Amino acid sequence: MSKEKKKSGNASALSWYKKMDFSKKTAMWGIIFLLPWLFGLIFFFLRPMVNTLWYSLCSMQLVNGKFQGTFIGTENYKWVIGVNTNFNRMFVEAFTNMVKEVPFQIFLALFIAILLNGEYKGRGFFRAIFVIPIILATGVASPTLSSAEAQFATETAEAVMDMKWLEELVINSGIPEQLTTLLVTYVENIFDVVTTCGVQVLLFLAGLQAISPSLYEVAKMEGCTQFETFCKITLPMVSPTILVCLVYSIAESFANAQVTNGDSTIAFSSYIRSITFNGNAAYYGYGAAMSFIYFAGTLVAIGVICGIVSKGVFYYD
Amino acid sequence: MTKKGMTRKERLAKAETTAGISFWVDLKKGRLSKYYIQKIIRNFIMSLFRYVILICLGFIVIKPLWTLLKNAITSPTMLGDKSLMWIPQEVSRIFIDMSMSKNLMNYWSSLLYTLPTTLILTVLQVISAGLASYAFARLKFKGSNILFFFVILTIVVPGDSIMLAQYAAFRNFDILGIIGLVNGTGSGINLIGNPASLYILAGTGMGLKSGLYIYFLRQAVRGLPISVEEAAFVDGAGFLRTFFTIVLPSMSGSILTVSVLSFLWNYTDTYYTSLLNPTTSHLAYNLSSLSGNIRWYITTAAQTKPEWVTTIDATNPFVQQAMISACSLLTVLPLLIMYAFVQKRFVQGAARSGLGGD
Repeated sequence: MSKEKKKSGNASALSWYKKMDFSKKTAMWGIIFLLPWLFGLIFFFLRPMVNTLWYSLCSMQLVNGKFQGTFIGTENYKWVIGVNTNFNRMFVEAFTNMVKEVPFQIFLALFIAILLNGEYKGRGFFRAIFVIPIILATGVASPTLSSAEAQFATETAEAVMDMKWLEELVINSGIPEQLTTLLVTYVENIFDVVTTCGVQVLLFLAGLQAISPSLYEVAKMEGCTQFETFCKITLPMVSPTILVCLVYSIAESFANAQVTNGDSTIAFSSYIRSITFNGNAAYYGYGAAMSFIYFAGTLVAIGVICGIVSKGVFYYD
Repeated sequence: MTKKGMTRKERLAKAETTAGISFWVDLKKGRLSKYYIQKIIRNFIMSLFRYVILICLGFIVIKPLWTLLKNAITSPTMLGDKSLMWIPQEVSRIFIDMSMSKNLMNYWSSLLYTLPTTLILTVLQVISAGLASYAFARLKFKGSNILFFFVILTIVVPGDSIMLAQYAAFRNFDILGIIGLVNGTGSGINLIGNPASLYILAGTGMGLKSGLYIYFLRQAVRGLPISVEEAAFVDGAGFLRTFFTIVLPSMSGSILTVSVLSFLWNYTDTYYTSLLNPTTSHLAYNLSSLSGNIRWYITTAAQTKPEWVTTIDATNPFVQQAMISACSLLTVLPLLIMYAFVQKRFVQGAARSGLGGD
């Protein structure tokens, strides 16, 4: 008796769930799956963001160890864009660097990943090697590495200079000059690019591995050439990964952008930090305004580029 | 003798009798066919090309690591020798030993602290990212696309701009005043210097580069054929069951990628550790604080052993460089060893996920 009662009790408790149609159930479970993330988003991201936005609209003061802001509208933004002599130039520089860097980075990463992917002897070794840049790029061991890398970079630059005749050949071949200078900078920077595209290689490798081998078998049976196989199978199947890599590369490129400041180069983010935390609380509003403009620019760049690219991305659904 | 117990000639003869035609042998001329020779040559050139490029790029990648190793194991008397380019003439363990000592890295106990905390962070981060990514890819509801915009925002927003506000949130950790009510004091608890603050960030999908993981896993889920999940729903599996028994196994390759990345980045992270949990037990954070003031640390460490005092000159920049190299090498080494082990599973797991395709 009691068992039956329990059963019926359960049934009535769950009946509202069973009566729900599938789309509503999906939505409910979607929210349940998202709960931890939503919690984090609201408390550890949006609230700090809104606070920062508020700071950027305020003139900040440090009173008894606490920040106090008085609302001054868009004064800070006007100062950043109109008065500060460096910000606009730095921002444009960061943007052009990104446009130059990112396509080459993606291309090289895909190329390396395809090379790493096949069946060959020692692939375990090579795959292990190409994770090293990710570890080293995080800034562990940066002081020694940067000097070692700088030394290496000059060595390699000299080695590249020996190829001057090739450079001249390319320049004199009638190809537009902007294109050749771009190519030459690519060749000279290949060492930097290889060391910064570790993550993209790893993402592409995972993307390539997820392609079903049966697709390649079919292509082979139908007599596709290697190039056709690449265009019709590999490229569409890794296109979602290309999108991820684009977003990541653009964000990273902006975050680590090196811009000229006087005679030397400086990281854009550290320039903003130096303005924000220069000991005077009044500058905190300026810094907040700067970083807001900065990431709004990043967001627009990512939105436009990925909006175009995502048209060509292939999904199963 | 070949595997199947037939010689090459016998196999060729068998091919001739059973099939009558063959791509591999030209039966009329009695030698290998044109196509087969072409194929061999093409494969040879392809693999030569592959190896040349991989070895060249691999050299670029390995060179900094080799420099670290070379600096770390060179004997103190040979430091700064111009003739030594690749291999030290005299090898000594003194820098490694010193950097492991209490005054510098305090290596073993720090490792015992760093590895478990990093592991917990990784697990929390992967779980939160996995759940969120499945919801974004398949369990759509009104506004979920708008929410996904915030994922991109978390990738894009530079940490510096919300640094101070995030610090304040954990300095006085309280959610809607609940903790303050329970405490009875009305104010939250201080989670700075407590690894729990990092765990909370990781578990709620706001940890180091969590946005990237969510984005990547979402793409991975969208790449899976939806028909398998639909079949599971039709057969009466619930959402949780579908997620854990169908979706998770079929994207195990991507999960592994994300776990490896998360482990690497959490292990080497100095940004969040310095902000929320600045403890010298964390290897990477300790390293970053060491390298700023290495001379002083070397001097204090050298005084603990008489042989170190005589051989190590802390004012010598080469000694300082060698010591930082030794410390960095020791920090990076566990990661390299771990990756060497995971690497095989990495390949297997990814290959298995490929079989799920339509």
